[in-house]
Amino acid sequence: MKRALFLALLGLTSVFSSVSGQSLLGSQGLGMPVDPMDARARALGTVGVGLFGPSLTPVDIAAAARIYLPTAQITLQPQWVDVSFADQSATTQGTRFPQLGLAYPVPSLNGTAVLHISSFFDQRWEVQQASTQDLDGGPVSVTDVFKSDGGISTVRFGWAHRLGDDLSIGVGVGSRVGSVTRRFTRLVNTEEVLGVAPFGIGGTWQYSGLTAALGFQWDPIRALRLGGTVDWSGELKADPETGTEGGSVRFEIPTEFRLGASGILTPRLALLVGMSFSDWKASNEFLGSEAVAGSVWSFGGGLEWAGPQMGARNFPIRIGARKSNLPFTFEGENPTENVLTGGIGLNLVPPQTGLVGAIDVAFEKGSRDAGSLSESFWRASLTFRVGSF
Amino acid sequence: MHMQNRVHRTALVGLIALVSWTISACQEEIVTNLEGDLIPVEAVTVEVVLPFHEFAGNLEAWGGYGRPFELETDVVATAFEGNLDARVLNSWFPYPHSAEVRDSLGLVRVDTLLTFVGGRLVARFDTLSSILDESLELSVGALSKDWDFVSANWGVAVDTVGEFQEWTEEGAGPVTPVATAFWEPSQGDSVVFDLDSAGVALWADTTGARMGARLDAITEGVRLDLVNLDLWLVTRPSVNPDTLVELEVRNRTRTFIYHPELAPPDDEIRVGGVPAWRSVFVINLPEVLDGPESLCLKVQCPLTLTPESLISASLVLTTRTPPAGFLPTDSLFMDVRPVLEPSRLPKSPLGSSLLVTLGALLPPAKFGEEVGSEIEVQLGPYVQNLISESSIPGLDVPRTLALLSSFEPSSLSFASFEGPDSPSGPELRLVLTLAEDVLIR
Repeated sequence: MKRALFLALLGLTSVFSSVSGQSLLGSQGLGMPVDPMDARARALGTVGVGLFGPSLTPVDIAAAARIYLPTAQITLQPQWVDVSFADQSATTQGTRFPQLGLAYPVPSLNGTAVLHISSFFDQRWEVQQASTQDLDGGPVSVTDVFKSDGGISTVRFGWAHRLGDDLSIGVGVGSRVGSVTRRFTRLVNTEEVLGVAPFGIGGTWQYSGLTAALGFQWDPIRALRLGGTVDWSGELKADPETGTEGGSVRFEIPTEFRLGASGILTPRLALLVGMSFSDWKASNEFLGSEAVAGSVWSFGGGLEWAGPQMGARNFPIRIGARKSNLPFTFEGENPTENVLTGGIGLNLVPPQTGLVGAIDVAFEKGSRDAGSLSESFWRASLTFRVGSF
Repeated sequence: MHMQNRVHRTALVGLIALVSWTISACQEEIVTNLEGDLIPVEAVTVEVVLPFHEFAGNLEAWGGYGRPFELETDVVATAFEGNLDARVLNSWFPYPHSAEVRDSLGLVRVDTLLTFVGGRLVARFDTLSSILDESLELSVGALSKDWDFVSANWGVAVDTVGEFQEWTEEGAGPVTPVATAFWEPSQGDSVVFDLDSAGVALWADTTGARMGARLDAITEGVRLDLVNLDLWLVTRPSVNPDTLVELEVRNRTRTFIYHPELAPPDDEIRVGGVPAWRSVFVINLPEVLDGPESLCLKVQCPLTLTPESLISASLVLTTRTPPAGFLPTDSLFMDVRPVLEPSRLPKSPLGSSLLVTLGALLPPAKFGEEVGSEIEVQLGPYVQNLISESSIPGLDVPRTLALLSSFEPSSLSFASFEGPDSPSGPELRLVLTLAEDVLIR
């Protein structure tokens, strides 16, 4: 049963890169970065590390050390985006699956083995542009379509280890996977030029590359938890498929640092904060200095209230805010994303039953701005977590 | 407990609503239709027009496909447009030998002693396609010579294997006059020739019926499309001599002959007619374009043609007026098909049509009041294959093409286009889109 579940979940890696999100900013650089956090971290506005309680996300690999039941977790993330660009507007929507995780505790070894499959960059976007071309018979209308379909995901195996009651560490290694198909199509108005066929040119690339992560979680005092992760990436290699022009391309992916802290304010109220940093300057060589934003920071935090209690169950309520830089410029400007967050946890199964059954829900109302582009969006995150002996 | 159940229900409803809301976003709508420099590929679309001698050669017209008897209508004309004469030839099976007749007692009996006292020949015309100004006079005469409905023409009655006979007079003459009649088109689509007993007697024996009749227009300047020609006999049965009975004579064969028969054209593309014309030429598409100047101003010359860059290719023909009498009166359809064994022309097999529909529509006005119009025939996939031929092993694209009527034969009239030496000669119009390679970044 567990083996079948494992294989089924592994099969989902193939859809992770294709069923992904939407933003015009995804047309820049390597696409739109996807933070593979669960709904709880999103609701709290943090960067996903140093949260109280166990969690199963690739951004906080040490946090799985305190998972005592074999657990599976998946997060899905619908979003609705209003795009405003140079006095024009458009609306997009879609759903992506930022993360899927499996945890298998090994009590004899004092730790938990984990498998994470997560999104890294969303490269799914499409733009259309109308113009005219001058033929001998006069100008004719054409519509250019550029479509990018795919993305980069991460598959990572890890181990989270308990070092006493207050300290945990985690380590993970894995690979970047995924592909992208980029295609340009020109459609000439068939009423103006008879018998005209669409023009199309494009190619498909397969991604590969190594990645590793190291993290810790430390409770210096009972009311305070600190966490951190270093996420290293080797060169991301894009190999053209047969029939695609050009050779392999390598991108330098910077190391990402995440720090977070949680503090208990009252027995039922906690404050959580976090920040992350990565330096994309090293990628200039491959992406062009004008394409990368350089230092990319993200700050956020929020409050978690234990919420209404119903027997052994509780329903925590969360609010927060986050401000994040995005790694790739748009019209020469560095995009920034600001979100206000909120959410609720639904712990459906009392802990003493030996089961885990929980749903976390997060809502984010945010905006992204760069140059003449402005996007406002609603983003929801739903994390489903089940566990059993 | 009651409170707990209510919370459960509320949570369940909320969860269902949440999942529904999430699923609603699963329908991806990611296309943004925005102006701006968002497409990372530069592309230009250009048009190149090649005159006939730069993309083809060896134009030849081949005639003789199909026969007039295969048409649904036959043509009667006299000095139409001062040029065309056409006559209908019709033969019958022998007259009926018996008829079921009601006698004076009211009983139905088979009478084998029929006396033919007269008859009528009814000609029905297509009033829409026929060309005439007002009433006209037609005549019917009895032919005096056997003829072959497949091979008969203006000068020849029979031209089959082992037998060749010319008409005594050109135009299926001479004939024994039988009847004349006036036709007033405003009164109906049919004209009736009344036949007396002497006229009926001309076709009463087997030989006479087989030789049949010739239908002519006496009035000049008309062209009529005959739909039916039916012979009805009036008989007086022996079992009831006070009664007259009409009997129809079954048609055996019908065709028409016309004059002048046209010689193969010089510097003209001719398509259709009966027997039908086909125009055949050989494509010699250049692999590299180094002009015209308008092209090289937009793209770097020399420009190698690639199948990917070709988005449209059309053969452009300019209409011209066919010889007098052969101007189309109804739409024609022109097909383009590869000639599979050019060395066996005119009997070479043809490949499948290169066109996706019935063929290129040729409205009659394009050869009359709108003569000089351009007709575009789409050849995109064929030209793409031609360009790909050198890079795809085993791909063998026929280079000899035939322009022909989609339905052979379809009418006496045919389509005529300017030839290669005309300033308005055939052209190959290529539309190309040239774009940078799509890179991953």
